[in-house]
Amino acid sequence: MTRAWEINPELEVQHLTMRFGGLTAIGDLSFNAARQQITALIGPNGAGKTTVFNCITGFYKPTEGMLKLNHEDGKSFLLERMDDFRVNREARVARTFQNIRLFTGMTVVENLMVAQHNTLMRASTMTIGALLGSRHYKRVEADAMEKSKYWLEKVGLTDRADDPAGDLPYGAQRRLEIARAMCTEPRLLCLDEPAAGLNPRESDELNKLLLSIRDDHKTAILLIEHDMSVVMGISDHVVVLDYGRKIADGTPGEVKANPDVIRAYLGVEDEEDDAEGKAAAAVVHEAVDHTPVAAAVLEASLETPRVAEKAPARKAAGPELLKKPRGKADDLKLIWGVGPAFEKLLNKVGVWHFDQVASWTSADIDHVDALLKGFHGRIRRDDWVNQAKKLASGWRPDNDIGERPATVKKPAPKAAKKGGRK
Amino acid sequence: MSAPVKASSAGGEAKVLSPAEIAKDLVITAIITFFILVPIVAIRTPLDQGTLTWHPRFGLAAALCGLVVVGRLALYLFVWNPKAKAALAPADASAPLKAVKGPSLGDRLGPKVAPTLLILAIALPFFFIIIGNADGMFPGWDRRGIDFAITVMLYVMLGWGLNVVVGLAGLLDLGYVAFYAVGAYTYALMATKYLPAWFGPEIKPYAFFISLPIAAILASLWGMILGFPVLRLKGDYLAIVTLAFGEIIYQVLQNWSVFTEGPRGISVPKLTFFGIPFDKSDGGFAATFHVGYNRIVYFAFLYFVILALALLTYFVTKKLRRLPIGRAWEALREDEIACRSLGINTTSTKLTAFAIGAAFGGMAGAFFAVRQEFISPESFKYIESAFILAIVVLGGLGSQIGIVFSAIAIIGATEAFREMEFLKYVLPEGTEPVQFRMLAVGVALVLMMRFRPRGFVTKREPTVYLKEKKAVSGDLVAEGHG
Amino acid sequence: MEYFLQQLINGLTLGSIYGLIAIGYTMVYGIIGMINFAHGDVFMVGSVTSFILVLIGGVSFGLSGNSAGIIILLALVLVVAYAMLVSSVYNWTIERVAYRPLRGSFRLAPLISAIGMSIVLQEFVRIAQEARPKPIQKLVTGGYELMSKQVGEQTFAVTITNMQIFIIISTLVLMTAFTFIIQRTSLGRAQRACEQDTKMASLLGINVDRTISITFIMGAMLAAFAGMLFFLHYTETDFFVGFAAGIKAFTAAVLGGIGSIPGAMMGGLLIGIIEVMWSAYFSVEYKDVAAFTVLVLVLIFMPQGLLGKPEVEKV
Repeated sequence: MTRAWEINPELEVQHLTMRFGGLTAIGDLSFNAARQQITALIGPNGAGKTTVFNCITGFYKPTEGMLKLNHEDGKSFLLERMDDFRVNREARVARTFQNIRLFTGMTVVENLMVAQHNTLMRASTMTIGALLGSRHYKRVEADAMEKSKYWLEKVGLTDRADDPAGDLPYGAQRRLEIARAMCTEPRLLCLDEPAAGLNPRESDELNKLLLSIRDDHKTAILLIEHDMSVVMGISDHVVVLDYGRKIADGTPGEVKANPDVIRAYLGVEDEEDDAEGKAAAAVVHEAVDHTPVAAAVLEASLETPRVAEKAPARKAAGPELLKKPRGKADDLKLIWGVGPAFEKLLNKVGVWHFDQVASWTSADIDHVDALLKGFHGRIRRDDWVNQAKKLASGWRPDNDIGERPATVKKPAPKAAKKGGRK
Repeated sequence: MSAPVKASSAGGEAKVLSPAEIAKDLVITAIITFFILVPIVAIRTPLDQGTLTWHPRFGLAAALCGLVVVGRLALYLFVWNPKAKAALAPADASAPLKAVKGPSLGDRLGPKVAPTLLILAIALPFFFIIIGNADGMFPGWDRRGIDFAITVMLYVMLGWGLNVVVGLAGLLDLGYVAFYAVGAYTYALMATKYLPAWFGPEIKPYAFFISLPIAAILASLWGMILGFPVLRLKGDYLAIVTLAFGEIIYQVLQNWSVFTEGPRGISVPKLTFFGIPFDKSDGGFAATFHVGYNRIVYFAFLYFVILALALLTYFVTKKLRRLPIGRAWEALREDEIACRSLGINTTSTKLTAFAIGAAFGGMAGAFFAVRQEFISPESFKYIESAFILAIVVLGGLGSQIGIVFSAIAIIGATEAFREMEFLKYVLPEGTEPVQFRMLAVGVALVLMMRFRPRGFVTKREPTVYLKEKKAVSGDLVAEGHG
Repeated sequence: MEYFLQQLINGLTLGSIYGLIAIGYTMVYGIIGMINFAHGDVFMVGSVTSFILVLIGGVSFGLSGNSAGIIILLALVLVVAYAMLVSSVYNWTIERVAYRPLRGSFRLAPLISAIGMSIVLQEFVRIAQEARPKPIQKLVTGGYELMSKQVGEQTFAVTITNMQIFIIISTLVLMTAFTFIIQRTSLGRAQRACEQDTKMASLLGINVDRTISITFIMGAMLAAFAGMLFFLHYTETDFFVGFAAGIKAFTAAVLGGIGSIPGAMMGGLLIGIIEVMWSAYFSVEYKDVAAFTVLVLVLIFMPQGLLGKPEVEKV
């Protein structure tokens, strides 16, 4: 079957990898977004969707990979090499933000005029022309005003045009943000959770708006969304992310049927799996910030003996696993990246000692990786094996949470502090 | 974005305290005041026959301490007391929380205020000449009045210039005085060294008008040179780097004596009427226009020059606000990331704000030099930047009319300090009322931020409208991230 | 070589003082994310306070450079203890009056308030103590000759004065005590928690207001100590010393990586050395320019500093 996004894609994402210090937010992600289609990027919280957006729109520089945008006229742009504002100005990619970023102190129509900055700026001939009252500028300004009016009409905000954007209700702010992005005449529109916080009626209106943008304005849309009614209702193509990796890619129907997706995101087979899924998510969280909350969730989920039962059965093929520790168990938490929750999991599958970890071969790591859902390359990335080798020989790190291996830098500081102060 | 200031726990405004708690609070206040005053105020360290010695000044310290305690008690009784609050201010205006939100005095100004001010500004020197001439009601006040008006207008212009950077683009610039200095030195050096050297001495009378655009260009060039590397920085960092730049310029002016004459300063020629000097000579203004010689004409002319420059600043800024570049400045102040997502080159946008603000500063500097007839690095210290910033902040960030009022208020207060002879009897020996000028400015900055952080005029005028123009309440306007 | 060594010693001495002030900047920045613009002036208050006390000691109690070593030491301990108390009260009051009510206000508000507070402190001290510089005779005298070299007619000796030894040792002691507090006590833990996430810390039962107050007090104590050392070192002080020293100390904090205490100390030493070397080898007049240029360069090319964490922009 030939698919639109494979033949002539608007956006090609190839082998995109983004690391923040030791944390891999996106690992080797490749997908395409077709021209004049709606592509949805879905996945559980923390799957790295917004990071993909930030890479596409130039706010982050990806660690590896290529982001290629192809215009219909044959021009193409390597987005990863462009400054953020050039991505919009030249490659014509516009975006909205998860936590709406309007110019709250400016009126609705001013917001739309700011979006046409580059057009107006060119017409103002270095501002001097406009300062002296050039006719050309006046004409362009009138056109810009017309376009603002058009979009105001389109998103139903004509009556509120002269009110400050900050005074609008939530749903209207979301729509205004989309209108503002459209005023830059993008080829690709990236929407970060446009339906979040909308009521069903508003959500329905949004669907119509997005379809109209796709069909009437011939604009490709890339969409992050949790609201499945939106995703399944309007998208032509769905890409599913989990822990920074692509787990599925296809039409909404195909994705719906994909068992990996069902397990990871859309639904659950049974309660046991749900518990496991939670545990896996918790483990990842814990490894990132060692929260006690994660450990508690994990504890609840580990009541199911399933993992432990399975483990010995695979013993022949995989690494050495023990039902009980040889004497006193080692404190596995000394390995950087292993917290109390991970330690419990490791103990359940039969890993008790540093020398066990130290002896893992590459295949063993894959095996353990598979055994413990949610590790996802963590063992390799944090280099547990070498850490364990050092620990087994009696070396101890300075602090009680284990020492980061030299190759792993500190994770990026939480941005929450910054946001809170604003 | 702008969560209103939480009723502070510091003064306990939020809850009612029992008399015992108030007493305890007052004792603590007294103790704290004690350490603040002893020894800094309580001990004088005068020179006695060439060596330092010390004299106690406990009476003054005790009086101040008592004043603070009594003041706080009064606050408890009359302001922080809910009953008194209800009785005193039905509008509940005393609560800081409300004060932040309530319409400010400046917001009630109608649309006619700007033209009225303009007419007043033009009429002002004539008014002073009428009331202040030798036969008028206040002899001698013509010169003083016009001098005062010139100072106010100079600071209004500086305030409007800085307003582009701080008020519109939301970039906190603490080194604005550097551009002021560049302008002043441009004129001084042009008039005394370069223009006569290049074109001969007969150019001298025209020096100011030739130097003015050069001062603007050089200052904005410096604005860009200094701005380019630092504009990636945010908020506090930008503030401190601009401060450092201002200091670097000051130090260079001090130490590069070959070029700037260092601390000795430079004497510069007076302003002329487009080449015609204001003197008694045959080619002078009086002889040329067949009017009687009067020194006041020179000062009135100075006033009109600065008025013209200030109006240029006003109208250019007002116009720029409505152009894409001005809208981009304001958008930048609101949300830089959103700006970048809309394809706005934030670096060049910030740079233009810096450059345009600097150009106005440079012109004001050139005027300052011609008015003072002498400049030295002492006039371009950091404190001057802080003073201009205070005017902008007090006026309401981004508001042009507010700045006029705050300049009048601040400079008026300064002059008032000079006039208040009676204060000398209250003040400790060895202090002059005028010394309290900057102290008052500092206190005003702190108090403004606490009780009226958006200044006199908090409303924002939209730059474009579809049906009707509605002012934007200050609560929604972001003041930038620096 | 001898010359260089001598300058290195001088630089380390000056750097210790900057380092002590820088810690105050870095701690406050870490915890509430703003530059305490008035911190340099709190340092100045410490310096002027210790000057007044030393003057009283000199005029009324005969304290001078010739007094017995133990008496001088005792006097200095008393002086610095009181100066620390006064500076702490100042910084605490500043936080209470000018910063705390503005938490949650827009970003520029506390900064402008801080600038206002800095002006208030300078002008207050200027009016109360007059603008003249306050000189005083050397209190800690003597020193050791480390090495000397005959160059033609002249002997060039590398000396370390007792004052320098005093400065370096007391800085080391303070730093150690301080690191202990931050690393090992519950107070330090509370501070580190607030630094990470103020809201979360308050949810976990940490008294955030109190922790912030204590941070300001600790910063002020170090600044007061630095203020006394500065005044003893230069045997002169005035109301304006806080300005330049404040910017340089801030530079030190940024150079070391804002938020990092060892970084602040390291940055302080580096700035001290840069300033002294610049004066020694290039020009004394431009020593402040050198320090400010370092600030600009560091912020542009290495905004996270030597030991700081890089910040990722939250989009």
